[in-house]
Amino acid sequence: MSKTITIDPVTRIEGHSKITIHLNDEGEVEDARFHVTQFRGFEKFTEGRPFYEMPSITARICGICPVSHLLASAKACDELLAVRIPPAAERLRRVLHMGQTIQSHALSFFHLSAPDILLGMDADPARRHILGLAESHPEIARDGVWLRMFGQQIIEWLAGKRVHPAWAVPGGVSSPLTADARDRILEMIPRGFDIAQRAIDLFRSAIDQFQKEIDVFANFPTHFLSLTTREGGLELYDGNLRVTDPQRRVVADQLDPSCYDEHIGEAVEPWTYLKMPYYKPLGYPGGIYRVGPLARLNNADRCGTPRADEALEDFRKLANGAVLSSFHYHYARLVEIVFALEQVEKLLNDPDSLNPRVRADAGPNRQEGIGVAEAPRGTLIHHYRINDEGLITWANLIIATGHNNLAMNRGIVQTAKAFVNGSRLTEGSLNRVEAVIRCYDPCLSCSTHALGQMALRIQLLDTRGRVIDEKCRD
Amino acid sequence: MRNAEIDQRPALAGTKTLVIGWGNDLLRDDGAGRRVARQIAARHPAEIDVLDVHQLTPELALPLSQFGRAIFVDAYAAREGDTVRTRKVDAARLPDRPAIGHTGRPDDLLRMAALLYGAHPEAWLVAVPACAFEPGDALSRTARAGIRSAIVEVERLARSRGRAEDQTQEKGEEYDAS
Repeated sequence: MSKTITIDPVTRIEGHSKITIHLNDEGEVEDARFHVTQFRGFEKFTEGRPFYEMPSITARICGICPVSHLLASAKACDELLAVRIPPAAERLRRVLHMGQTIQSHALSFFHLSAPDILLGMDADPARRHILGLAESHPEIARDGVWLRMFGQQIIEWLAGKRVHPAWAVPGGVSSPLTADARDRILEMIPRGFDIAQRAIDLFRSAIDQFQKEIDVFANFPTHFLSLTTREGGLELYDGNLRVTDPQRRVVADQLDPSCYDEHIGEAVEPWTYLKMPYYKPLGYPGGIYRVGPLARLNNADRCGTPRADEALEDFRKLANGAVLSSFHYHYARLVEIVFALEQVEKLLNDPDSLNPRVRADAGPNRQEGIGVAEAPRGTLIHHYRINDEGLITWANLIIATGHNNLAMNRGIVQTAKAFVNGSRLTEGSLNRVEAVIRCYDPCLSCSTHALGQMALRIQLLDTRGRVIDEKCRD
Repeated sequence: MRNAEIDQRPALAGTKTLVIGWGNDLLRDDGAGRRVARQIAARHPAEIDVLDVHQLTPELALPLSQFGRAIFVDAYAAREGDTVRTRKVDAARLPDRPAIGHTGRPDDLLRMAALLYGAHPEAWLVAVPACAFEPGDALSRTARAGIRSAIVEVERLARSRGRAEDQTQEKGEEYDAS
């Protein structure tokens, strides 16, 4: 008789979800699904709010990456004002964004995934967490704590608080940087570099132990999407969209982010609250693509900063074309930490970083605005329409984790087929199915936000797993 | 389950107190611990250091290791009329679930402080009774009364000297205030 294995909840990720693994009569994995079981609703309940409230409201979508929402939203509002923000304001927004990237990537690598990498996928789950890491590898745990704290400290010194700051506003930022805060941040940068390099060395030394995971953790050909600079370099705050194929060939370049809906479609499945974005030219579900650190490094011709470019050179040696295994999201995250530290150093060493002119004042001059940035987990799109009174009439948010939904689902099928045997379940095999999701560092609270469009299916199962009742809302 | 090695780590000799209040201000009573922390900060700006946070995160281990005394303040799911509960926070108490996920425990943080920085404070958890957790910022009557009592309790603990057992006002049943 066929059987379903459920992993509920998936642990060490942001948000709520479950995984179901469907077995055939022989106990072999036939299919698997990643169900996002939480529901938000931001796109709908922001309707009617004044547009200038959107950065603060949408930052509340997430406690891990509120800065990404704050910035994408502020950029969309800049469009509504039809202003070009002061150069110092853009500089400071970029610093804030790098602080966010450092703290979020440090959280993902050190706190959430390092226990798998350092203690082992089969380690006792009672120890396989940050506290277990603190016992077995206190120096690594200390590095992780310090690096995350540094990223948060940058955010706090710039924006007043670590979580949900409201400092980026339509037209710029609400206050300039002080010389004291600049100096304190710069003093801490060298320690950040040391930690990031140690983490890269650690990851590279561990790779050989995870060859099977590298082979099957969402290791398949897909396209990749990200922003790049006009010159094709790594870009996290602005720029244009680039799409590459599994061979790292550029298939679309310098796409205007405000035309995202010409290139990205969104499909809905009845078993999850998370939508399924796809690359329109390839249709659904063939238009599977990935975003985030792995995609950004595959897409960029270079980082544009010396230390990160050196790290990127080593990263490139993993594959002839694009690096396809999602296991290497971890590695890509570490390279991006180096890039972010270099960016902070460069931006703050410019005297203009202390310029007090940080905000352009204007009323609404357009009725539609789109803001796009690269959140730690990938491309983040905020799209608003307003009426003559400046009230939101429509909003659409496409979140990094959503872009990766098709790849996450295909990834758990691949991983489950390689590791799960229905007749002999082990905790380690199920942990690997969770771990492939952790590679993407999904942020589910961010990514489930539409209201009124989601199909919903509730199944009532008897003890033998047979469906005895079902309610559907399409 | 306990860990003897951690149990024997000494707390710092100093008497400086850190108060950490946590919760979600947008879910009514859930933010009661933060409200207590903010009031303590306003009433004792010189004597007590206060952290007002959304969640307990591993980064708090470092500041914790630098204090002689810590008081955590959170809300717990209660019934109408329930009162403030205080318990000793125990670095040797091993986690019975994945540590420091969505719901970090003060015991785990204390343990992290000991493991990573070699010291942890003597610490208590003051739990405020909470009955309403839906979105909003209006407190239930039980939480309002609980906050008033919790402030008194935190001030009492911050002033107190001597053995921890003597300072636990109401042990109550084993509960998880996260």
